[in-house]
Amino acid sequence: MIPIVTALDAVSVYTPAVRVPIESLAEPLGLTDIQVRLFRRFHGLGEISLDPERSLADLLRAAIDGLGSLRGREHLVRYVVYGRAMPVVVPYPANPLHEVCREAGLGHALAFTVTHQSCAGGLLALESAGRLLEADPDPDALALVLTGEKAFTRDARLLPGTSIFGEGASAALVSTHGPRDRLLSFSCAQRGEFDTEFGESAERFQREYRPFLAEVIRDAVGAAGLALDDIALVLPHNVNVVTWQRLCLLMDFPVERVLLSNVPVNGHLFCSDAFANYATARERGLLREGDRYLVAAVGAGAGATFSAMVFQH
Amino acid sequence: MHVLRAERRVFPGPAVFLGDDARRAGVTEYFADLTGSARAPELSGQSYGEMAAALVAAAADGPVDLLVLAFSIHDMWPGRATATYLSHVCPGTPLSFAVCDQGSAAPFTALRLVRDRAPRRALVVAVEQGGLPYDSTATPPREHRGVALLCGDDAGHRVTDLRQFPDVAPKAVPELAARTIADLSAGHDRVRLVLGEALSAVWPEDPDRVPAGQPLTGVWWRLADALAEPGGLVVVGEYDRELRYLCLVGIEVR
Amino acid sequence: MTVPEAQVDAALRPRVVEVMTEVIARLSERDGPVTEDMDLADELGLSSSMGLELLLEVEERLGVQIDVEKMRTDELRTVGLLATFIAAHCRPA
Repeated sequence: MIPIVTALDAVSVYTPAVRVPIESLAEPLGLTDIQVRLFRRFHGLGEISLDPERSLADLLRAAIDGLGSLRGREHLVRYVVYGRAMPVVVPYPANPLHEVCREAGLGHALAFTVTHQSCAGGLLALESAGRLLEADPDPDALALVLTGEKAFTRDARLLPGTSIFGEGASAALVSTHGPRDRLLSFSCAQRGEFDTEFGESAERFQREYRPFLAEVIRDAVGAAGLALDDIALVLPHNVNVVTWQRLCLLMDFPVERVLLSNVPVNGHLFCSDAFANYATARERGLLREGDRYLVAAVGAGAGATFSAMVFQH
Repeated sequence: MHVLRAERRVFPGPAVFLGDDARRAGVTEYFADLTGSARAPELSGQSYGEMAAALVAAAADGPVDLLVLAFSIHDMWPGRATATYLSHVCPGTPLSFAVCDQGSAAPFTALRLVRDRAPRRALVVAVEQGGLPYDSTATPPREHRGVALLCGDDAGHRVTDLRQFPDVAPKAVPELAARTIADLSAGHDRVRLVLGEALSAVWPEDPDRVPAGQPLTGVWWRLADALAEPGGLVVVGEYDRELRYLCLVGIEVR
Repeated sequence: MTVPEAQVDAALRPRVVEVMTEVIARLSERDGPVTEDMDLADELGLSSSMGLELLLEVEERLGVQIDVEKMRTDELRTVGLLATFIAAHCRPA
């Protein structure tokens, strides 16, 4: 079921310049002093971007504007797939996705949102874009994958005891033939039984989270025909540091190969973490030609979606 | 890809979960933050979790590999990862997600994504509910309605072609729609049209007009009738005036 | 996880146990004594977030930093095992 080639050609990430330390979020989020200290000491959180002056459309616009390689190729973009964690982010019928597409000269593209997988929606958007391109008869057709969200309500600001969301957006250009980063595999598993309809299960979810994510990661690595040792770098979801430390112990994978440096800087950027971490890896020269790397995301609200992708750079 | 069956339901009352005070308080807070209004919202609409769960139970005849929920207007439980919930209540624990922000084009996109993934069995669930808990320029659907299409590779009603045209100006719609319908109909002796209200004027023969009031589910509701009558090609078409999508799909009825 | 005897700070360990038992009694709202053989999750009902709170208090009260990167929580099931780990894997803060 995996497309022959889905290639990530360019990625742009935007986070608002207005940054706040997590201590200043204690009052608005109803956090106790010890909860804030735990977030800083073990979860590795430090500050987040939060700009009440910038709308969701502003965030998406800024990410698209940063994608230099899109200029002059707008006409080739057939699909715009927006991966979003929060299903409803503006009053109906406002539609910031179509608003920014029209402004960016992408009004001719088929644009839609994929959601209901929480923070795993970004990887789903990427995979869906690849499938649309694969079925498209034009080999030059491109897709734009967008992510981006505002931390606008309590559910979109805090994962209690786990993480704090920050604001940001990303835009990624996807083709079927680009030379840069090729998708080798995608694995996705869902745990709808953790929906609140089935009662309180936070403790059980905490226990099962890491083993389940480890299984999905092993699945993606296996589907790419690789072993975990072959993975040069992991681009994590920025849920927190301690989860990844413990996951690495569970999988016997060196935590040094997990790019966690954006956790204290960004917090958890919903569906944008994968793209933000990719951009950081490129900036720091952490990916060499031929490297196989893994991208992981977990969407956890009440139900949960665990996703992992393996790419070759 | 084939459509194996279509199931549809009207949901006469508001969502059951709104009877739970804690959940009510949760969604009240969400809507207040969404709209920036301190006024208590009127929560009388439906939940896509409840609607889709009933449709899934009616339509799934065994394990399903993929479930795509399509909606335009949102429901009364705006923060819920409803498709993830549905992956648990649907036989086969399918990969599940939702497609939205695309007006009436969303169910067509859902069908297309299903076709491209070629699963053994898939469900497209199109839902719309008629309550908005704040002032809006939109006219909500008349009734809470949903349609589920069970799709798969077994013998059924074959999807012959699916076309989506973005950014079609209203004045260009009649010509493009007529041409595409002619294209899709080529080689078929008997063609039946199921066209949304915005398209009903574009074809010389008076189509089986879909009444206004159900912008997302209207044509799919009527498709369920069309599939019950054997033979011929059914062309389902819809145009979204706001987002300017023209979508058409040909389905060969067994 | 077994920890070689030599690596365990023998002077620190009793102080770790003392702080741990006090904090656990409070977090688990337990009246009776907390002993080293007790299972943190099953017997004392400590959730993973309470576990982190416990570590933070031990760190702050003893002025140390625990090397959590090496902590295999699934193997450190009892009060005593966790205390031994901490006494072998921490440095002055």
